[in-house]
Amino acid sequence: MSLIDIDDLSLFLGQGARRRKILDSISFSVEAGQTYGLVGESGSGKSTVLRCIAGLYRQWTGGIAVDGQTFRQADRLGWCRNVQMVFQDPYGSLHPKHQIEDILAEPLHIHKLDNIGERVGKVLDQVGLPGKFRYRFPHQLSGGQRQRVAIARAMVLRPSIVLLDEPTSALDVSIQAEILNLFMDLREELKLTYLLVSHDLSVIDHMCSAFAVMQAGRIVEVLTRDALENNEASAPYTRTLIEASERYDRDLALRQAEAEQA
Amino acid sequence: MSDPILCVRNLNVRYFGARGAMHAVRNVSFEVGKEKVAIIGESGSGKSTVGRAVMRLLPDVARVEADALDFEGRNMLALSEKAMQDIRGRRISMILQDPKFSLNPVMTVGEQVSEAYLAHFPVSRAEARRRSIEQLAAVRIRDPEHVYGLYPHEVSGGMGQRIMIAMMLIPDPALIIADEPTSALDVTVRLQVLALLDDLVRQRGIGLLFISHDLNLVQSFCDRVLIMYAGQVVEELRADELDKARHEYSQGLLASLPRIGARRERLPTLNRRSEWALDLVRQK
Repeated sequence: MSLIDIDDLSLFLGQGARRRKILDSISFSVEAGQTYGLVGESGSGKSTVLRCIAGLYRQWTGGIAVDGQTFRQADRLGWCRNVQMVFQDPYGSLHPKHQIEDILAEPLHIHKLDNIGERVGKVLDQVGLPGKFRYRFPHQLSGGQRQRVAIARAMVLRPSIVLLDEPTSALDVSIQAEILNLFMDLREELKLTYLLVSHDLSVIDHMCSAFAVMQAGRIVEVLTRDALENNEASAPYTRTLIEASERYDRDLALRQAEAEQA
Repeated sequence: MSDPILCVRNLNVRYFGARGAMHAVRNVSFEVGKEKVAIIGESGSGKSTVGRAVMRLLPDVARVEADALDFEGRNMLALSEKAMQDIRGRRISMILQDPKFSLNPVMTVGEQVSEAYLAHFPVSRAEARRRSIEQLAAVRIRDPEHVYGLYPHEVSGGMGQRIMIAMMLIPDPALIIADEPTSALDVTVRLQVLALLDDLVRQRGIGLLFISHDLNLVQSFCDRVLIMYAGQVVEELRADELDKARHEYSQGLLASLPRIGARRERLPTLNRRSEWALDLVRQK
């Protein structure tokens, strides 16, 4: 049994004529301690999968289970404590009028935990922020520091699963490297399992031992990192994605344009 | 390189605000011919400010000084605002990052392309419409007559960016400044937009100043690269020799980039040194 089991997950959104199938029987599983990737273009449904697992969408069909316990049976509060999420935009995901301390204490209040001051201090240290930052406001922090706060907010509840939704795409490459290293360190230190969504195949390749390629709400291919490096991707869409990610190539662009015309 | 389109010598931009002067761009010098020149750097390095200074689009609190800021042999700093209007959009055009925020939401995209043509040429609306449809076809939009009548919210991000490019190209400029033109686009769409810009440089002899933070992309797309840090150009290289960068900052940036097939346990991070931000020697 795997830690996360997603079985035949489907989701419709919208009403009447505007009803659209957003996810089309998604199935995959993630082992404990693994970092599993979901890669695809905008609108492919990769973030929606995370939102279903986090409980932000409830009208899906199929099965989502963590550690053998399904979402429907589980205690909602306990589920949320165990499954936390980090969002893309460090500017939009922190309350602008709350001090860092309040931002980090809020999940602890919701889950009725004690020793709040001590826990906040510890988690700041774990994400590499100085203790004095607890009295600052988000606008006094740089983009990379804000993302560390967002990571701290997820980690403060001691989850076993962290859902990462494009956690570095709003950051410069040098800051991205620091944040990716932090994720690696925290995974070892806190025995975490990650589900990482990104449109950047090189980030997925760096972080994940295996990943699923999504297009239009479906998984088109599941690859391991070794298979990617040995050039074993077989689906045409995956191959295009790999080539387009590696470099600019005029011939590839022309071939792709012709394929679209046809 | 013979006869550069744009020649910049010792460009300085200072902002005067409530907290004193801020020297945002320091002694930046470069030339752009019929080629693709990239400016790369992190947020706050001054790369976009350089692009805007060339267009004279900076607000009044910014003071722009340069030993030379010549476009097609004319000194742009000495031009009147009226003369600048004839250059801006007509001879130099600018493509911005996100088509969603750059297009007028209550006007059809076709009318916006027509407007760009009518602003510079005394022609009839029907003629402008005909030219716009031709231009939309030239940026590989299928069924341009249909797309002409669509509103910005009805087109995808990639198509929006092609429409922006069509709008920029219709007055037939000599120089395009593209400020992160593909950052908001998916990789496969990005490829198409870049191929379009590539063809323009090859076929029409346009100069392209490509402002980006994406080193991987710049390496395979551009001819030359300027690397900016803290308002200065710390290094200039041929794009295919980016791997041989000598400045520690350039090397650090390249090393911090994850690459497919180059597996590392940890990514090297930048140790910013204070001497990188010191004034470099002024070029003559």
